[in-house]
Amino acid sequence: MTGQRSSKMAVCVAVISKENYPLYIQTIPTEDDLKFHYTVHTSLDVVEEKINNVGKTTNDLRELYLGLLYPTEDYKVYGYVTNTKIKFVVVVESSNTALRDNEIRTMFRKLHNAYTDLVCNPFYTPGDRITSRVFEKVVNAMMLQDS
Amino acid sequence: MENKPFITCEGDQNLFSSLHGDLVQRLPLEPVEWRRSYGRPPRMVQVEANFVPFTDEMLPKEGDMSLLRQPFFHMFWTDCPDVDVYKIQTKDEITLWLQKLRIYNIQDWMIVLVANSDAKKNKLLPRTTVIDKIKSDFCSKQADRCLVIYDPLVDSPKSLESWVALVQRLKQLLLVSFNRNLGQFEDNMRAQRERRTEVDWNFCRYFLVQEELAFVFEMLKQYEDALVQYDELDALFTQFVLNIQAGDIPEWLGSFSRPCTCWDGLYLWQPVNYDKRDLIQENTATLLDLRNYLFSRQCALLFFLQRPWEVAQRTLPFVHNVIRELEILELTLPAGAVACWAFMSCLEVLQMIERCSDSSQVEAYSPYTASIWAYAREKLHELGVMCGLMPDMNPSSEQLHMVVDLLAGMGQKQERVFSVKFEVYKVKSAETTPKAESIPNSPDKKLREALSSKAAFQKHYLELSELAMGTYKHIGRIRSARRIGKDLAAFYMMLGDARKAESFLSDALKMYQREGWGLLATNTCKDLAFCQKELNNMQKYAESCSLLASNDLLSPADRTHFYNELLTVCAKSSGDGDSSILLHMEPMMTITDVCIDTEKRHPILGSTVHITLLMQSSLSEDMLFDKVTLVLQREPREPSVTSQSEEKPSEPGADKTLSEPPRFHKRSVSAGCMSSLRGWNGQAASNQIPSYLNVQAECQVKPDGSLNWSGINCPSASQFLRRQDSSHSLVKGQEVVKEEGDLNLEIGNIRLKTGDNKVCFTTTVESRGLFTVRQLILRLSSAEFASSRIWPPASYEVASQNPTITLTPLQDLLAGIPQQIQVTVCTGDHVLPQDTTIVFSTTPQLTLKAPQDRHGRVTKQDAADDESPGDVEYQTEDEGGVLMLKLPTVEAYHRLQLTVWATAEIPDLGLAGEEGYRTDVEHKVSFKSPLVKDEPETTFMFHYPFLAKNQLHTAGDSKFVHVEVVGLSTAKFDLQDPDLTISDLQDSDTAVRLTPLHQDSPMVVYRDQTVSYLWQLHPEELQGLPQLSCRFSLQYCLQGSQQQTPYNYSFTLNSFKTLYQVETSVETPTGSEKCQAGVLCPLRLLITSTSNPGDRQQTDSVPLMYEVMADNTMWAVCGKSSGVVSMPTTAMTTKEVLLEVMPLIGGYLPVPVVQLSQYQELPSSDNKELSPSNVEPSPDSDEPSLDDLGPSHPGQVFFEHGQVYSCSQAQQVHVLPANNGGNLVITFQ
Repeated sequence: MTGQRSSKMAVCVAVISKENYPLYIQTIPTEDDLKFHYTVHTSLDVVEEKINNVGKTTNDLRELYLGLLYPTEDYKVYGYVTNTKIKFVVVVESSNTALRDNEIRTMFRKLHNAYTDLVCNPFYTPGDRITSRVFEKVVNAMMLQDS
Repeated sequence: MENKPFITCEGDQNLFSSLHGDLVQRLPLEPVEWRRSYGRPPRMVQVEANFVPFTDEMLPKEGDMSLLRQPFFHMFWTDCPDVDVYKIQTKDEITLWLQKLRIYNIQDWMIVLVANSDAKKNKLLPRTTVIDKIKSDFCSKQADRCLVIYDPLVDSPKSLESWVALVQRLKQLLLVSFNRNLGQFEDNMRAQRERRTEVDWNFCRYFLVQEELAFVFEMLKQYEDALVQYDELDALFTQFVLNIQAGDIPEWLGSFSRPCTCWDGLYLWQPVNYDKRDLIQENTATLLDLRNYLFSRQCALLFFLQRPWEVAQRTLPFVHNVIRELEILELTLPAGAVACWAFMSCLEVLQMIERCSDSSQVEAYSPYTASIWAYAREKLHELGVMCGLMPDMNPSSEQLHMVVDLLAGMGQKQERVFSVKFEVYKVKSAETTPKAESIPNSPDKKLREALSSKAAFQKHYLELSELAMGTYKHIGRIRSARRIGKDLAAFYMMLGDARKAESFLSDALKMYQREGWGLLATNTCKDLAFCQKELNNMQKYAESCSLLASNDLLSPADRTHFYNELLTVCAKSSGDGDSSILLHMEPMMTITDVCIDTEKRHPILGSTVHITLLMQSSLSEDMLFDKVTLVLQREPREPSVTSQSEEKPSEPGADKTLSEPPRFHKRSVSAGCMSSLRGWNGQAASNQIPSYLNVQAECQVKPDGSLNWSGINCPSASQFLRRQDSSHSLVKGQEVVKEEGDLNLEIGNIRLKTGDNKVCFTTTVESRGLFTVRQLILRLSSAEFASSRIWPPASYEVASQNPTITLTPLQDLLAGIPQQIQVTVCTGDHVLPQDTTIVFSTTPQLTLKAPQDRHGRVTKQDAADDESPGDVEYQTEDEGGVLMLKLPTVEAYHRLQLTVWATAEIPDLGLAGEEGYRTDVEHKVSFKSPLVKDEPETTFMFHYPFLAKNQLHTAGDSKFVHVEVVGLSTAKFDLQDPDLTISDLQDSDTAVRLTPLHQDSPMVVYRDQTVSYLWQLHPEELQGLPQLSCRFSLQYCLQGSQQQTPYNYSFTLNSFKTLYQVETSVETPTGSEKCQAGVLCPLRLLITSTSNPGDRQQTDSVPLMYEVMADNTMWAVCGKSSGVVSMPTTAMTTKEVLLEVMPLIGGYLPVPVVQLSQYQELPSSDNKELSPSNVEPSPDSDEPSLDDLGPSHPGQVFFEHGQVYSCSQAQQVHVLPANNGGNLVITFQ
């Protein structure tokens, strides 16, 4: 059953700033980056909606994981928002049924850790585009073929 | 068809049919609680039933687990009036009936006896009624299975009561039956499901089984439970399909692998689509059939549950899932079939949702429907492209065939009528506005229409796009709406409506720019550029081209393309002869730094300023500009007086803030920061604080000159600290503004390379002020690229200085002799024209004179001291004591120094009435000149070189005038020709002789040195003169100088004649030769009148008061120390007074002084001698002075100095030491 699984974990990983401009977008394959840029940008609508809705109802610490933002025919877009309103968006292929909620959560956790490490770097100014190789490595690991 | 549980009726059918209506009506009236097995929550249900006559066929066959067709309950109705009839007939019937039931193991039955209420009265014995019999015969264990209903058709309390009991009982038993049957059914169902891995298992079969359960729940209006059944089925099927991926293909799935020939959309207009259900039953359903049916059932239940939003929520996942399943099953559908299906399904859902919900639910489902609209639009677009229906296409015959095929697959046209069932959805909704009349075009009708022609397609596509966009906007998903707008723009472009496309694109572009999505913005901008070109909007097109040509996100080929386009546009617009087009310079070129290089810190008029701009070109190729213009703004500055005064603290008391030239605090330096201002490449600009903040140093000075506070201030802080609103502050269109410049620097034909460039401007300063670099304008043919305001502002200030004239004394000024005062003229930035005049005016007694040589020294203003000065000549004019200087030409920034002589006269201080205590005099000099505005005044203090004082001395009748000249200055002065004249005596016969007693030789006076002159007056010549006005004069000259200057000093002598002589003498006590301390001595006082009576009052005598002013350390006055004597007015009379004094110490003691004064008797007091107790000698008045000692007694008037002459002044008396009176006993042994 596992032998045939050859799908990627994520096809697009994006980090978006508090002001909604992209800090980092990595896509596979890279030729499709425009499409994924559109997808990620559009997903911000839902991210904002979710953040705003959460704010209205509960006062306690909100869940950082926003869940499935919206499905398209081919992709599923998941969102995650840090407490500093940095947004992580991960796009996976709809056909990849192996990825359940739990796997997505793990991905976001890894991403968050990598981002935290990045921000801890005194040479990185928050709000700058991310060029860290360490960060890229983490992201690439998520997008690699799941073997 | 309605699903209601069946209840069979046996027995008297006529009887039952008469009651049937009542029973059906009463049964569902009150809901009853349904307790369920397996710990499921109890529910309130309304029980309805379908009563049918009992037949054997109704009874379930062996192994038939169907629920719907089999009766749940069985009733036996009888109206057997008495026991006899019962025994004969009814008992057998019941027995037979029960036997049949037992065969099938049915325990859900009930016997109803319809009785007449009167019959009961005959009942005398127990267990003799029919009912008792029935109970005893059949219901011995289950007494509740038998019931009597009295007079069911009569409206009586008893009848009613029995009805209620019947219905109640029936419901309970029915539910018990349900529980039992459902329990059995579920067990069976579960068992079937467990066998799903077996080879002969069939999903469709199982589907129908579980659906039956769902139907039962639906029948009981337990839609939630019904929905669960379908959801379970859904999940089960999905899992089966997913397992295929893992190579696990059950046999039954083969039936779903049949090619689909029909791609009907969803059909939601009936709760149960029996056509599809039949297909499933027949095992001929395709995947689409099954999925459609399953989802339509779920939707139906959700509509029953009043949850249309959930329908909307489930729609897209459903469609996506189906499409994926089609792929997994590798079903081959004609191209476009899936899109057709998806499109129709989406539309069906949308129409249903709209129909089955009220306005209050719009909010709830809008977030989902928006995406459905968008998805339907996408699918239609897909179909349009596929079938060649897009505006830029012409369908080929192949594509037309495809359309025909697709239409064929849309299968049967379902009748769109409101089924009765459908109304059920609406019944519960709050607003029941039947829209049955306005049934919209069914989805497949729409699709048929859309695919029929290009025009129809266009209409539908645009309609759909607008709907999708509108819904997105409505729910606030602007980004999604913009994205559709972008697609729509592309469609409009195909239609050739570039204007509409442009508005969509520019909206999208604005958003992408604002949010800093470079790639998207670039992409959109590219589209927009084509659009603008289409519209022939060259201004905007050029703008876009410049943006794109300098955008590194674009491919090099594209960049070159737009670079060339830019050149073409610029060249073309020049040919048109239109006014030039004005474009943004950034981000094509950015100014990274501005350096201003001046010769000095503050350039002055005529000096050269170099301004170097560091520029970065983002173009991929070099660009040759025709002209580069740097615009500078001039801000006139108040000309500062001197360059030094700028650094001075503000005026004391002035509560002003020092506006220093603004300094800019650099937050960070990055080359890209300029471009980010337009939000192009990087971060969103709207929320960002610029890299440079304008911060000014400020301070406030208190009136006393001390610092009150100091600090820094950012004048534009409010702008940056303003609360940033979330997404609604759209960036305003940044217009290119050409700044008004006061100074334009130009360079022609300059090539700017890719990357860093350096552009230098050179200018000669021609006017004053603060020049700030504002804007750079690049000209290319007729296009102008204007930079935004250059930030941080770079500026240079052309120092501006007004000419100044200052007067400074070269030394401490002395009055009486000429002194040097230096006149300094600083030209500032003026050139002194020939014959610039300075006219001096002075206070009286000060004269200014030009020196003989009339040469001035000219130096550079900021030259060092050792620089050799130039020499110029100047002219003077002297008109009536007013000095006027005529200056020669002097260059700017030079200092002309020359000296003038100032002589301040020494005033006759005696005349002025100032008794020589002031040692200096103040004079003011003011000057008037075209160089300075008003008449500035300079104050000088002149010190007197010396001062004269006078004194009168008396010796008996003789008088001596003493004039003393006191030196004050360190300079030595020669004094000559002293002279004293009595000025008020004109007549020579009454001349008063002044006999000088001093030497006539010149004298020298300097600081702390005094020179005295003495003249004797002869008393005989002074007769009858009350006062003498004297004038002292001499000639002085500064040692070394030849100029003799007269000096005058006037004074007046009053009451100077001697009236009385006082002679005091201490006599030795009688009997001793010498005075001895401690021994009383007589003090003889002789007062002699010396003057003529003519000078006196016309009385015989005047009272005179005497006072002994003895030093009380030496003398003790015994008895009275003062007294009044009556003095005869005749001349040369003498009065003698004897007093007693006692010397206190031995030695030569000064004779006690006696002070004489006039005494005027008070009117009240007697003319008697003052008793000693009344006239106390003032203890400290040993040296009484007429000036400062006021009269100590009333009526006492002091004499003027010189009126009383004391003859015994400075006499001494020898006093022996006191004899202590002790005998010195000397004993010899």
